[in-house]
Amino acid sequence: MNKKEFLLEIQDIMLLDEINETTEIEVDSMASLLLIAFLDEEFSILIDQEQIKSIKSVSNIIELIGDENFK
Amino acid sequence: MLTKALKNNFQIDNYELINYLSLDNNDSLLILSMRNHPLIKKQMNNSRIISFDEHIKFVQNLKYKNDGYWIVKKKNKIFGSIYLTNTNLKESSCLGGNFIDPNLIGTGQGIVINYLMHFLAFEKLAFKCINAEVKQSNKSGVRVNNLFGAQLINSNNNVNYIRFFDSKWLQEIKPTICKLLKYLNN
Repeated sequence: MNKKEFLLEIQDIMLLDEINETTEIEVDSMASLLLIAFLDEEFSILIDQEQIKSIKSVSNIIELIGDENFK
Repeated sequence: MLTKALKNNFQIDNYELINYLSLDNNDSLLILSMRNHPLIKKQMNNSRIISFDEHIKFVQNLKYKNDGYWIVKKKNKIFGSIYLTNTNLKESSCLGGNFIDPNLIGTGQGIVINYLMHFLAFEKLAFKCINAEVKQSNKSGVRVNNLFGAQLINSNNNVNYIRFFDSKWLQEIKPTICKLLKYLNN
């Protein structure tokens, strides 16, 4: 998955009108579940609810994934 | 057959669905207190507080109605409630609703109670269609319904009237939801 596709997925999960890598986000319980599933299925990264709490922006998710894991 | 089944108890995965007609006074009181909780009752069509006497009369009348009301228990603790009302045997449809223990709001467990409601209506009771109503202000409820494949039928006075179909549930929605539930239980 490239970054553009990734941003579209995150936009959909977070129900955002616009998104870029610095967009701040608030992860509610539903978004949290969808995000955990997305990261596992697309990047094989398993995170828990505690790690979700530390996510405040799209860039935090990119850091979790690692730049090298995008196409 | 269906009329009788609406009075039955069911087991789905690790959850017990106990018909309101089978409840003891303690569980009746507990589910009523959840239903009267400010966070729950504000999402109801009838958002006033219901007294215990009213509730008991309501439950007694269920014997004569084609409505099903269940509490959902997990490990002997009340998790929430599911109800299927306005049943139309000809069309094989019902009006579905549910709520969870208010202490579980914000934990993602709303998906579980909705999964159980769809499983019960479509797989245990063989309804073809579930009608539902959700206030547009209930953002979380609207989102969960979309996840479950809700089809918007109409909107009026800030209420969305939606519909779910058994074919979509079995072919498309259930596999996705089961995948998500795996993450919720971890």
